[in-house]
This record gives sequence, C-alpha cells and structure tokens, in this order.
Amino acid sequence: MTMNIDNNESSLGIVISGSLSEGIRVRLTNPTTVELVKVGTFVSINGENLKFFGVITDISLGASDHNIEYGSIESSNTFVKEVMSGTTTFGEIIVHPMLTLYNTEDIDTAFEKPLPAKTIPNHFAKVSSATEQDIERVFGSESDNVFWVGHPLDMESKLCLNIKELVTRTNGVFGKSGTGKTFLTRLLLIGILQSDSASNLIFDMANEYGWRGYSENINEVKGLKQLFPSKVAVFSLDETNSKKRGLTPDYVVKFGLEEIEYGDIAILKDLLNLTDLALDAVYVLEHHYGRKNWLKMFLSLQGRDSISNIAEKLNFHEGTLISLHNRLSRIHRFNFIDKTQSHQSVEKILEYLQRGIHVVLEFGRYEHNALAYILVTNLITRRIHQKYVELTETSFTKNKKPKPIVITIEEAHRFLTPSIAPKTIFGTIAREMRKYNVTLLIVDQRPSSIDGEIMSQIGTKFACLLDNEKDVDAVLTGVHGSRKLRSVLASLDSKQQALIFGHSLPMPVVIKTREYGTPESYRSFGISNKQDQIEIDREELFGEN
Amino acid sequence: MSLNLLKTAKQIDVMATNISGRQNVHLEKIKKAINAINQFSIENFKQLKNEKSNELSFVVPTIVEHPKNRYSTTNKIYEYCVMAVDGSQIEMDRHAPTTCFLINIGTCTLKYGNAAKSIFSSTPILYAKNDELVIKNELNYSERLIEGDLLAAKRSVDEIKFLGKLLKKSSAQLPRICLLDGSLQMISLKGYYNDEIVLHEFIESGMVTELNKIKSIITESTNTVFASYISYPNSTDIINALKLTSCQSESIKCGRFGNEQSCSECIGGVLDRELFSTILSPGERSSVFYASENSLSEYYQDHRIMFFYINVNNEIARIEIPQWIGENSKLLELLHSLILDQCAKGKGYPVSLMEAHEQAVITNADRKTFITMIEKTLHHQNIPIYTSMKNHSKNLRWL
Amino acid sequence: MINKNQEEKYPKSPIGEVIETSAFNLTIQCHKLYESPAIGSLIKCGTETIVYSVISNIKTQSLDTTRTTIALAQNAFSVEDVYQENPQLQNLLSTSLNTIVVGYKQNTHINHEIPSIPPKIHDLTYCCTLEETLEFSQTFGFLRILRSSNNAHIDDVIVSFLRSTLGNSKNPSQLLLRAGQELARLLKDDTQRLTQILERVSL
Ligand SMILES: Nc1ncnc2c1ncn2[C@@H]1O[C@H](COP(=O)(O)OP(=O)(O)OP(=O)(O)O)[C@@H](O)[C@H]1O
Ligand SMILES: [Mg+2]
Repeated sequence: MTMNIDNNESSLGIVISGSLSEGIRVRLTNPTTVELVKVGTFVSINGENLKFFGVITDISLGASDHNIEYGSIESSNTFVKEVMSGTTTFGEIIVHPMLTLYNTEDIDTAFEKPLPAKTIPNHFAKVSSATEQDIERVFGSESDNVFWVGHPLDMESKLCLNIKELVTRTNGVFGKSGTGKTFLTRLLLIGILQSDSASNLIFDMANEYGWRGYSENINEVKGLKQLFPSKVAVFSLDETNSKKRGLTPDYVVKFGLEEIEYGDIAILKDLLNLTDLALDAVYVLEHHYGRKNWLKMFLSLQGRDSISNIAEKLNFHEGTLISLHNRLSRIHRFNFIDKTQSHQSVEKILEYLQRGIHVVLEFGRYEHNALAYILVTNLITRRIHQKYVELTETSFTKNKKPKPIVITIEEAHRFLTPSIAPKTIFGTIAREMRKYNVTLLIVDQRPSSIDGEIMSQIGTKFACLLDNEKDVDAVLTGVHGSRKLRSVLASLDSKQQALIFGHSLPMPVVIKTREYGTPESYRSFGISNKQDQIEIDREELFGEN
Repeated sequence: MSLNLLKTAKQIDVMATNISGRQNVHLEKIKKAINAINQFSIENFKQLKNEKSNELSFVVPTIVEHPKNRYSTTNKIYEYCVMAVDGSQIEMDRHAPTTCFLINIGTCTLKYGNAAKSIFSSTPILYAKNDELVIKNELNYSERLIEGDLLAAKRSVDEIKFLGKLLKKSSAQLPRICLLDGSLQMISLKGYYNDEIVLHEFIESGMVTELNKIKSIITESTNTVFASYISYPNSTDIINALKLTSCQSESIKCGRFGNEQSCSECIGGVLDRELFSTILSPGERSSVFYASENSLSEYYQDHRIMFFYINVNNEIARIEIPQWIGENSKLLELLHSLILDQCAKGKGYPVSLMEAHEQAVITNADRKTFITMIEKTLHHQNIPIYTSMKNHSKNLRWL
Repeated sequence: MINKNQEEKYPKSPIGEVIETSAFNLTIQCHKLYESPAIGSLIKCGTETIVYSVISNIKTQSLDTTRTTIALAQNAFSVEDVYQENPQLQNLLSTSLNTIVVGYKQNTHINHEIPSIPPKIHDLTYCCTLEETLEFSQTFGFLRILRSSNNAHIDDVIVSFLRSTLGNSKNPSQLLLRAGQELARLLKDDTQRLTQILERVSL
C-alpha cells in the first residue's frame, strides 16, 4: 500500500453525513492523510450490519471555525498547524458506497456476489482503505476466465476482468491521444486470447498489434504474433512493408474489384467527398452492371465520351458521373485491389478465426490512409458478419455455434458517426449485440463523434484520460452516477490509467493499466512456448530482437 | 429624621469659634509652663512639696532629676524579642439572658533578627461561675458584682498574668521587652480606695503578685525590660509640680482641679505631653519621675510606679515602669531604644501592642454572636432564658 | 511549576488546607506565607476520594479584611529586610490559592469529572508530584472542565499546566500534540483563542 498510514488497519476516517445519491462524507481522522488520499481509491466501510465497498469521489478541506476560511487565522507555528490539522482543520472525502460485501453479523454466509449498495452506513462507521481481499471479493481473482488488467489506484492488488462476460458485448476503449488506449487494448486482446472465449480480428491500422508495436518509452514492444506465434496470424495488405519490418505475413490480403459493393462506397461518402447524387449513381450503376461487375465496368470506361454515354443512358448528369469516376479511381489505385481476378481473403480470415487463430490485419504502407482503412475494414466486416449470420442461423439446426469473434477497430468514430452509423455494418453489429456472435472492440479518441445510440450499447467502457467536455459527456451518458465519475475521469493520469465501468464489472474502477513492454510483463502472461521464451530471453540478454 | 443635621451644624460652628478663642488662651498657658520649667529647681520643689502638701487639691510626683533633662539613645538593637499583651472584654449586660462576662486576651510575640518570627494568640476566658463573678466580703457576707471599673481592673490583672507567662516561656538569649497597653496604676480602682477587699483582690493578690513574678525573671537576666505604654496621655503630673513652684497666687487651690477660679498666671489645664512636646526632640525621652502618690500607691509594695515621656514620631507617649526598672539606668537605656524601635516599626505606636490589640479586639459582630451562642446553648440545655422587656424592644423595631 | 526544587520542598507534607469548598472551586490557605506551588499546578486533597484541582490563582493578602497592608519598604534594602523587621507579617498575611476542581480518584481510578461530594473544609492539600500529574493527564478530558470554568484567565492556567507538566515529561511533543488536539476539539469554533494557547504551549 502506498498510503503511508501508520495505523494498522489503514483506517481513514469516520462517516459524518451523506446520502446514497450524493455520497457519504467522511472526516479523515489522520490529519496527514489528506494529501495521500486520491480520488478513485477504493475504501471499505464497516457499517453496523453491512460491510460496504465504495470509491472516493471527492476530497475537500474543512474547518470548524469560519475564521480559518476567511484567512484571519495565521500561524507559522508548526505545532499549531500540527494540532489543528485533523481537529480544527481536517480533510474530508466523499465516498460513494457502491456495493455491499457482506453482512458483518454473519460473515460466513457472505454474499456470493457483492450486491449493489441500496443503503448507506450509519454515522461514525469506520472507513478504511480497501484490502486485497475486499478487491478480490468485488472483482474476482485471477483465473481462467478472469484476466488481470491492472491495479486499482494506489493498490497492489490485481484488478481482474471476467473476459467471458466482457466479450458478450461490444466494448469501447476511449481516451485522448497517447493515453494508453492501444496498450490497454493489446492487453484486452491478450486476455481474450488466453481465455479462448473468442477469436480476435484486429484491424491494425497503424501496425501496432501484430508485429512490433511502438512505445514512447522503450521504442518497441512486442506484438501479439511475437508473444503467441501459434495462436496469431498476421494478414497483411502490404507484403513489402511487412517484410521490411521483419515479418513474413501468414497471408497477403487482396480484393477483387467485384467484391466492392454499394455499401462499401457509401461509407466513404465523406472521405471521397461524394454528393448524394453521386451515391445514387453508384446505386444505379450497381443495378445496371450487376453487383459483381459494376465497379470494374465503370472504372474501365475510358474517356469522357463513354462516361457521358452511360450518363445519358442512366439519366444522370454527365458531370456527376465524371467526378464519381475520378474519385472511385482512387480505390482502383490501391495495390491490394486486384483489377483482374477475385480473391478469397475474407474466406481465409474466416477460416483462421473459426480455427481459433486470431487474425491481425496489418495495413502496411496504408497505415494512415483512411480511405484504405475504412474501405477494407468495412468490406471485411460486412462479409464476415454476413457469413456469421448464415453460420449462426444454420447452427440452430446443426447445434454448433460458430466461434464468437471480436472485431477490434481503431479510429472507430469513422464508422460510427451518427450520419452513417445506422447504415453501416458496424452500427448493426453494435446494436445486435451478440446475437450472431460478433462483437466489436471500439478504440477511439473522439467518442463524442460516435453515434450516441451506439455508445449506449457499449457493454464495458475503458476510459483513459479525456479532457474534452463533449468526449467526457459521450462516455458517461446514461451511466449511473456519472457526475461523480466525471471528476474521477478528469483526474486520471495522462497515461496508463483508466476508468473502467459497465457490464462486466460490479462497479466502476480506476486502474493503473498493467505494465506492458518489459520482459517481466511478457513473462507474466505465462508464456511457456520454448521458442517464445528463447526470443524473450535473447532480447533481455542482448537488447535486440 | 433622627438627627437634625442642619441644627447640629449651626451648633458646631459656634463650638469652633469658641475653640479657636480658647486655643489662644491655651497657647499662652503653655508658654507659661515652659517658662516655669525653665525656672524649676528641685530644691525649691521639694521644699514647697513638704510645706504645702496638705493644702494641695492635686497630687504631685516625686522629682529627683530636673524635668527638663533630655535623653537620647544611639543604641540600635536589631535582634530582640518583644512580647505584648492586650485585652478586651464583653461586659455583663444586665439585659443579657444570663450573668457572665468574657475577657479576651491577645498576645503578640515578635522575634527580630536572624530567625525572625511571630506568634500571635487570642485567648477568650469566660467567667460564669458564681464565685468568679463577684468579690465576696467574708466578714459581712456582702458581695460586689464585678462590672464596670472592677471588670477593667480584672482585665488588667489577666493581661499582666498573660504577659508574665509569655515572659517565662521566652528564651533569655535575646534582649526582651514586655509591653502592656495603658497605665500600670490601676486608676479605675480610685473609687474603691477604702474598699480593702477590692484593693487586696486586684492590686495585692492580682497585680503585685504578677509584678513579683516578672521582677524575679527580669532581675535574673540583664537584658529584659518591662513597661506599660500610654499613647496620648492626659496626665498632668509635671504640670502639677510646676503649678506648685510657679503659681503666684496666695492660694494654690486654683486651676482645673481647684475650687476657685484659676488665676490669670495659672498654667492649670495644660497637659504634660503638651509641655514635653516642646522639650523633647524625636527619639528623646524625659528624665524618670516617681508617679504621684495616691491612695492606691501603698498597695504596690516595692513596685512603685515610675514614668517618663518619650517623643516617638513627634508624638509624646508616656511610659510607666516599676521602680526596679526605672532606677536601673542600663535597663532604662535598653527600654528607651526598644520602645523607639517598636514605635518606628509600628509607625508611631509599638507594633507588638498593635498586633496584641488586634488579637484581643472583640467586634460588635463578635459580641452579638457571643450572646446568640449563649442563648442557643442554654436553650439546648432547656434552661429558661430571661430577658427583660427592654431588651425585647431593642431587638424589635416597629413603626 | 513542579521542578526538582519544589519536589524536594514538598515531599509529602501538606502545602495547606481547604478553607472554602464547592464542587467546582476550592480555596486553599497555604500553611506558610508565599509557599505555594505555581499557577497551573495540580494539587490534591481528600482521603477516600482524592479530589484533584488546578491552581488558577495565588493570592497573598491581609488575613483581616478590615486591615489594609501598607508600604513598609521605604528604608529597607530588600524585601527580605522588610520581613525580618516585621515578623508579624507572617501572621498577618496569608497566601491562598484558588483552584478549579478537575477530577477525582476513587479506588485507583481517575475520573475527569466533578466529584459528587466536594472536599471538606480543612482537608489537607498536597502538591502532586510530576508522576502523579502525568498519571492524571494520561488523557485530557479534564481540559473540558478547565475550559468551561468561568475564570477569565483560564487560558493562562491551561498554558501553565501544559508547559510545566507535559514539558517536563519524557515525550513532551507527543503528549502536547494530544493535549493540543483535545483543546482544538474544545475550541473548534474559536480558533483565535486556540492558536494563542497553542503558540504559547509549543516548545
Ligand atoms: N500498460 C502500459 N504499459 C507500459 N506503457 C504504457 C502502457 N500504457 C501506455 N503506456 C505508454 O504510453 C504511451 C502511449 O500509449 P498508447 O500508444 O497506447 O496510446 P494511445 O492512446 O493508443 O495513443 P494514440 O491515440 O496516439 O494511438 C505508450 O507508448 C507507452 O509508452
Ligand atoms: Mg493508439
């Protein structure tokens, strides 16, 4: 425990007033603790009959004499200050009782699970920092289904998440840039991987998940493939780039032009700066040429005349089609688009996923190309979802459910803005929840851009520091007790800390995210594979890889 | 209104003018007295005393030294012990529920010097037994109730008794001085000069017995003195002597105590202290005189009373001593310096006597409490209480 | 102040006796002129129930209220001279103490409360030793009684007590802190007063 309180029980104070809605005011008994107490810390309260579990949501200074507030009392005498702190002047914390752990009269028949607090402790109930046992009782202890994601603030106890529970819903990792979203997400993915409760499909836009991620501190961290080579396949859109980075991808992803449909273009509307009329044209073109051939045919039109011909035919303004043609040509130019033949990339991905292999799709040189990212992500997801709907529906008869998959998308707001969310596959998945065994893991730095309805469907939210009011609002909307969480959220460290709340947790919790990137951290995942271990050891010895 | 202050004030005015008129006459007389003492001759005085003693309407002292002599002392004593006794009494009140009286004796012992210390005491003595309350004449079975002057005499005897006891207990190492307040001559008994029983009781078996005891202690040591201190004395022994020598009138029967009008030359009315205040400088004492003989003198046996005047703090006090002190120049010198020291410490009055007085004093409140205590006690013992109606009317005031 | 000197001076002999008694305040007349413990000292009296009180005032004055004391030192070299020249002062003056009752001890148990029966007149009074005083001030409940006494100078009494007793203990800072915190609770709405006391108590 970092809190330096010589008191054996790490007692903090006593309850002096409060309410269930506003929280409980606790007078700190030890005057020196004010500066050591932190918002978001867990405490336990020994009520007359119930043991409560709660979180510190505010800290304030009080004085029994108003003259102190008016500043008319001044003493440089340290003894005076020492005496007054804790008596005349004192620290107060606001604690929100979240759960009741057990009946103090009958600890043996402790509640199976902590129950939400529906009442508050008595006056003068003793408040102390939560112990490791308390934490374990609330969040569970590390085991197969439970994954250690970090530590409650200022505590050494491990905070664990029930991954099985987690993946049944769409989840979100939020936080402004550089706060540790990717690191946290990587941990969650490992958790899913290790618990084997779902297959991951990761759209690794910035090439951070599969092979060699980047850290501000130690330059390079391991990707999933490096840690779990037999369980992870890296698919690449850009083989050259992957190879340059020392990776031979398991599969090089390519798409035939015929795989691109109206929906794939519609989602690019803003990126390609398409007018509504242009989109209508796409729709008509698809009808005109057939779903498989429309793009190929349209893009193969050479010269102005042929375009105006077709425009005339389809009753479109010639200019509309010309500019549409120009813009769609950008897709045409992507290397991973094969103009001549079709590919089985999506099938390949599905195959891997069904086998329980986790797929990381690297974007290679297209890492900052939004067009490529959105196009590919949408394309793949749409088709996987489609397959899953079929699989799930047939599974009822075959009595064999397809393996659940979790699709991780960074920059998720690009797919989930209110204007397009209702139309895209991502909106659909988020809303369907796990009906078809596909859920999303949304990673985003601008949650305010995401459709509110989608936000409200998110099961568990992992919020790193957010300083934009709108983003904070977006994350907390519809959450019980959001007002208190707001101050907690705003006071998070700028890195490696997160407020977790929602479906898979009995109560919101602030964690220091589990360390990732050091040899010990890799070892802590319990990697037993010889080859992996050798690599880790070598790295440790020579500082290379 | 109980007292008409307006009318009283007018009368006081008249009195004041009379006083100032009389004062001038009085000052003239004092001047004459000074004149007389300047011309005084012991021989002449002795002769006149012998010749005219039978004609005199006043008594004169025995003078062996010129009355104008003055003595000062440079002897300053730092270490000594002073013992002083004073008394007070609660008179038998005829309206009181029972007959009794109470004498309260206060003593004060002060030790000066290295081991300076003080001991005070206050001892009340209740006289209530029948034979304590009266003087019996065995011959004719008559009884005299002790009250008034007799009670005063009784008190004097008790006082000197206590002083004797104090002296006996004290250590002879330091110089000692024993002090009484008032006169050694039991003048209150003057009216009883032919009551053999009374004089015997109070003087012979009372005062003289105690004086004997004190004398025996004092003669054993060389540095113990005993005296009685009279402040503001109204005595006229020396003036009387001067009258004898200086009055030109054929008949000496003049003056305040005379039958006829005082002659114009007469110094009658002047007090000794008025005269001596013009003679003695601060700290000085007069020569020692034998007190004028009177009808009580013979009872004093070998304790003839002597006296001198002393200027303490510009006031004249009279010191009375038995002859065995007055005739001993060494003791006289010791007495002189110790009296001066005591008076210096007491701002003009012997501090030891003052404290003894404080111990002895009975306040009015104490008197009332005393009566109530007696009443209560008697009541508790079912003894009927008789109080006269007069006392009842004093206790109750009505409109 | 209970210093070594005085401990020797008052080993086990009484300093005086009770001449006025009440549940809250006592007046003690010292047996010897000027021989009194200092303001703020803890004294005890009584036999079965030992009553503790803290000296709040020391007065030396004429025993006889109708007699005033007058200046005597005009020609003296020192005050000692005056007392040597006037031994009667030892009898005329007397030193008395006003004390505030702060607790009692019954069957070895110390209570910081007013005893149900006040001490008797003439009860002999003793000065508590440092050990006794520290035993009494293991907790500081008696400060409540002191504070609520209607003595205008009670703060000075409290300061004297704390300084002399706790200041001479083995671990003064810890005791002073606890005493200070008790005071702070008592004076929670009068920080001005509290600060003044604390500043004076601090070592
Ligand atoms: N759990 C962790 N263990 C070790 N380092 C971490 C951890 N979390 C964050 N960091 C540090 O913080 C830096 C930023 O983290 P990360 O790249 O995950 O941020 P981000 O929110 O994904 O940023 P961006 O929005 O720019 O992608 C990392 O490079 C790493 O140095
Ligand atoms: Mg990132």
